[in-house]
Amino acid sequence: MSIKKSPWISFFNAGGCNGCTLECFACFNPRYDVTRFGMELKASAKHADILLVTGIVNNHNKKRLLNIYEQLPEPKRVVAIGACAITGGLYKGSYSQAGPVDKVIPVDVYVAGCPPRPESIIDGIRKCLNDKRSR
Amino acid sequence: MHEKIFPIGPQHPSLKEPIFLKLHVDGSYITKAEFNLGYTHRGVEKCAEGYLLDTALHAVQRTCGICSQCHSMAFLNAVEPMTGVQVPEKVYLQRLITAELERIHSHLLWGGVMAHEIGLETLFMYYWREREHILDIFDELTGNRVHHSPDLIGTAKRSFNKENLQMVLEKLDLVEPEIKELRNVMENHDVITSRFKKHGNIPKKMAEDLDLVGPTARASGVNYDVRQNAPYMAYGIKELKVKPVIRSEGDSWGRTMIRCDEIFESMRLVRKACEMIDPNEEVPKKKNLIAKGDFSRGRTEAPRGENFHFVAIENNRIKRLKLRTPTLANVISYARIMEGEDITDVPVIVMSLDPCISCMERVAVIRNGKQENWTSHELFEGKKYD
Ligand code: SF4
Repeated sequence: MSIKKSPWISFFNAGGCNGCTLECFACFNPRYDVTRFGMELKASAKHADILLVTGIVNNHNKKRLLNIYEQLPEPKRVVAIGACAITGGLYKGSYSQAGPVDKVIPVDVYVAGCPPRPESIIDGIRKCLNDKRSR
Repeated sequence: MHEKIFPIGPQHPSLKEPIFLKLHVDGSYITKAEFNLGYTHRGVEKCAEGYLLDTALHAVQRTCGICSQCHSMAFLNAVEPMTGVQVPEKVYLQRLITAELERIHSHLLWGGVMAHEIGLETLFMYYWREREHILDIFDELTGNRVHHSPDLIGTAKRSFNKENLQMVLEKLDLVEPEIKELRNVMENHDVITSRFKKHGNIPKKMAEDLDLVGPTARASGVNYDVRQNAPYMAYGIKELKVKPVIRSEGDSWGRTMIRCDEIFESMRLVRKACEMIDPNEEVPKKKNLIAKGDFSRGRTEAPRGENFHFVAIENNRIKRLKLRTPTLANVISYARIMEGEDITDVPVIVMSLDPCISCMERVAVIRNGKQENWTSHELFEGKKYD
C-alpha cells in the first residue's frame, strides 16, 4: 500500500541539536507552507502517516523511537533527516549512539544536510507519496 | 483526596523537544513535579576530545541549532587569548552582528512556539514569517540558514561587503514595524494576559539562589547580563554597550515581555555595528596558530542566558571540553514553580523559560544503576520562597 495524498506528519527528535528540528518546523511556516500539499503536523504518532526523525538516536531514546514507530498506523513511512540521523554525523561513534536511525527502524527516505534546507525536506516528504515499494 | 500521576513526554504535543515531566496531581492542581532529562544526550564533550582546534570549533557550533554563533564565540573567547592572535575590529563587529541577529531569530522563534502552545496558530504563523527574513540575512551573510559557522580562529571566513550591510539594514527596516505590532498583540491580547500574569512565579531571592541566567533571571529583577557585566569582543566598544532590559514581575508575563523588548535592543546594536564596520576592509587570511597554556574558559550571553565553555588543550588538540548552557541553569526551577499551578498552565510555564533541551543535555542523576528523576525536594532542600 502506498500513501496517495494528504499525508499527516509527526516528528521525533531522537537526539540531535535543534537545527534539524527547526528546519522541519520551518516547512510549516507561511513561506514554505506544506499545508498546500495537504500535509498537517500532528503531535501524536498515532494520527500520522509519515514520521520525520532527526538526531543520532541515543541509548536512552532508542526504546521510545521503537514505541513511536509501532504506533504509526499502516501504511507508514519514515524520513531520516540530517547527517546525524543518516550516519551519526559529527557524533559518529559516540558512546551514547544507538543509531543511526536505519539500524533501529526501517527508513524510506534519507535527506542529507546539516541541517537540510526546508526545500529538500519537502522534497523528501513528497518522495514518500505514491512510491511503488510495499512493506 | 486521591493523588494521581500525570506523565508528560518524552514525545508530547506541547513539547517540541524530548523531556519527561512527571506531575503528581490532586484534582487538576500540581502537588509535586519531577522531571527527567537525557533524551537528546549525544556526548559532544567526549566527541570533541582529540580534535584539532579548528575542527573543535565546528563541533561546538553543533551543540545547539538555535544559538550556534554564541557557542562558537564562547569557544573563541577561550581559545583566542591562548594563541595570542590579534583579531581585527572588523571581525569582532561581524561576530556581533551575527550573534545579535541570532538573538532576534531566537526570540521570534520562541514567540511563535509560545503562541502555538496557547493555541494562537495565526500568531505563530506571523512570528515565523518574520523569522524567515532574519534567516534570509544569515543565508546572505554566511551561506547557511541555521548553523552559520562564519568564524575561524582569529578571523572570519569572509568579510561583509557593502551590499551585505545594505541588505541587513533593509531587512531590519522591513521587519521592525511587524515585530512592534506582534509585541502589541502579546501585550494586549486578553488570552495571553490572563494566562501569563501571576503564573510561574520566580521571586528574586529564588532566582539568585538558583543562579538563574538570561531573560529568566532578568524578569525577576536580577541585573545580570554577560554582555554588560563582562564585555567581550565588540561589546566592549563604547557605542555598543548593552542596556539590558530588567523587569520585576518574575512571572511568565515578565519573561514574555523581556524577550519582546530585547529584540529592539539587538536591532539597535546591529544597526550601530553596521554603521561602524568598514565595508572595504578585508579580513586577514587564516594562519596556523599554536595554543600555549593548559586551559582557558570563555563566556558569552546566548539568547537564553550565560553560556560557559572550559577548554583544556594538549598539543593543539582538545584534551577536555566542558560546556554549560543556559537552559540547564534555568530548567532546575521547573520542579518548584509548577507546584500549586493548574495542569493546564504547564505548557505556558514550560515555554516561558524558553528551554532548549537539545543543547543542555549534560547531566543525569544515576543511583544504584537506575536513572532518577529530579525533584523539587532534592533540588531545593526544603527552602521556602514567597
Ligand atoms: S545533522 Fe546537524 S543540524 Fe541536524 S541534528 Fe545533527 S548536528 Fe544538528
